[in-house]
Amino acid sequence: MILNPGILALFITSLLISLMTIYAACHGIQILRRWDIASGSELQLILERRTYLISTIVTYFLAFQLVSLFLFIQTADSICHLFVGAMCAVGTLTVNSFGYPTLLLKVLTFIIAGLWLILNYADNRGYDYPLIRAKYLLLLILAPFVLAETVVQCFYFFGLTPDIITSCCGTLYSQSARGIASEILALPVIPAKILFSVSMLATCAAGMRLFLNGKGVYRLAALSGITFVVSIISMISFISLYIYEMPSHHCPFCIVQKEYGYVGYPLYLLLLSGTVLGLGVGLLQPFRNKKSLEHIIPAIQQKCAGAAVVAFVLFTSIVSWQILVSSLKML
Amino acid sequence: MISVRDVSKIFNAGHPNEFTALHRVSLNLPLHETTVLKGPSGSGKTTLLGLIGCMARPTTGRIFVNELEITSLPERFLTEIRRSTFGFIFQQVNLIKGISALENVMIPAYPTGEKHSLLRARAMEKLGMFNLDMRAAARIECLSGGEAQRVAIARALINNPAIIIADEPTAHLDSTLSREFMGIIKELKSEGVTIILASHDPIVYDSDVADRVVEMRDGKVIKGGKRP
Ligand SMILES: Nc1ncnc2c1ncn2[C@@H]1O[C@H](COP(=O)(O)OP(=O)(O)OP(=O)(O)O)[C@@H](O)[C@H]1O
Ligand SMILES: [Mg+2]
Repeated sequence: MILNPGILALFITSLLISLMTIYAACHGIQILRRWDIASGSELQLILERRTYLISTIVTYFLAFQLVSLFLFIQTADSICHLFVGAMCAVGTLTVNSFGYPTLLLKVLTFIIAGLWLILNYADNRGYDYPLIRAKYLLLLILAPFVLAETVVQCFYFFGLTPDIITSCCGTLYSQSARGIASEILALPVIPAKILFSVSMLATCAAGMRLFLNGKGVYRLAALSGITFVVSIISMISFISLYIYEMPSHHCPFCIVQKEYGYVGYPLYLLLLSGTVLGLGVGLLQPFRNKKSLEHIIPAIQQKCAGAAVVAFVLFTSIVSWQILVSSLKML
Repeated sequence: MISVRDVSKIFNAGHPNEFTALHRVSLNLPLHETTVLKGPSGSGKTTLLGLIGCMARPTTGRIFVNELEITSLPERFLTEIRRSTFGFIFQQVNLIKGISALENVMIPAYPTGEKHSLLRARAMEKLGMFNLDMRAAARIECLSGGEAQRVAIARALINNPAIIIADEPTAHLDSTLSREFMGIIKELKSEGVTIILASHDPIVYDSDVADRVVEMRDGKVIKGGKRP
């Protein structure tokens, strides 16, 4: 293991988050089995008191879980010089076989944790714990991913030894490489651009429609999910090329570096935020008819839809700007 | 209707000094009526008032105010209910020293964001009900016990609560002031305010203002109901 402040912070916090998640999940199991708001039993009153504390703490831990994705990328990027052959985070991630799985789990937990925070926010507005079961069920779904992430990240960090010879993004994100990345690279640019524009437009239109007249909740949710995938593919397929101003450099990680104005961070943050907000709108929909949330959920959905549109529009603006000012010209 | 259903309160549960202050109390108190809780010291009057007024939560049982169940409400809803629905007069006056009587009366209304001049006028009016207008600017520590008690009553009224909870309100008042206090209670009652008092003062529980007297002992209700 390399003693780097970022690694230590990630290591310790993921342990803490895991412990807290296990504790909260145990409490969640009890809630799912024993919760009965109509009862005035001692257990029920204890559960009510405890859930208040637990969801508050979990909120803070999950908020850090969101941040940790970016800290992870930043750390991987900042220590790449320790490995022979690495030029950016890609090199650090491929030092051993746990790097990419960790990243993937972090993206996944980012999305689920974000959704949980939205659910929790709505639940806290209702006076009778209206989403308590859904909230703890989602926490129970999140728990294994958080635990897996902690374990995989542990293996990854312990397997990091300096001077390992690793690969640089140039070889991994090139068309001669095999795997999903090369499939994406092989995508013709023009259809990719069209796909990206269409999905972004459709998502923003769905978001605006929901924001203005409260319709099309599931459409926005589905489109947000699709747009997330399409945008990641576009990032590798053509957006990166414009940012690097090189016709064959497809790396999705170099863009977080100083040479490119750290533009990767706002891009990924906006994309993930828009996705989580768009999906969250759909997650809340089944609970719209709960009496204590009758007026609250539509209001939250409207806010989320508006924020998702802002995030996606900003994302697209930055991308378009990069394409416009780029000295690389492609059709 | 304020409906107390099967409420128990156990202090220090699971510790050697565990103490059951309320034992499965059930009570129905109609709104717009005045109820007096009567009973020896330690019988659980203050504890019960605290639970009804959302100051504490029971160990078991539920309390309904107008069909709204209050014991399960998350804390952020309780603050609002405490502020808008209940006015409290405590056994210990619980006034804030170092600031004036007027400011003490105004404090519970600050979070509502009401205009300061309106608020001030209303606070003066409440103090006026107790002939305390002259003492409005006086600091709390300069007030006599009786004056302090009346300032505390004025403070309980500042948000025009629907329910007033008073714990031994006449404990520091002489007979004249106590009767005067009951006169004010009568006036509030005629305005439709629900009043719940705890007291062992005959001036309170024998007063014709009291619609019902609930007798408590050892954390249980032993007698309660409408006066014949
Ligand atoms: N926070 C506490 N911790 C432990 N015991 C408590 C607590 N509050 C009250 N008690 C106990 O509960 C019992 C009931 O108290 P409570 O104050 O309700 O009585 P009361 O009827 O108001 O008495 P008084 O007439 O003297 O005011 C008392 O024996 C008291 O010691
Ligand atoms: Mg008392």
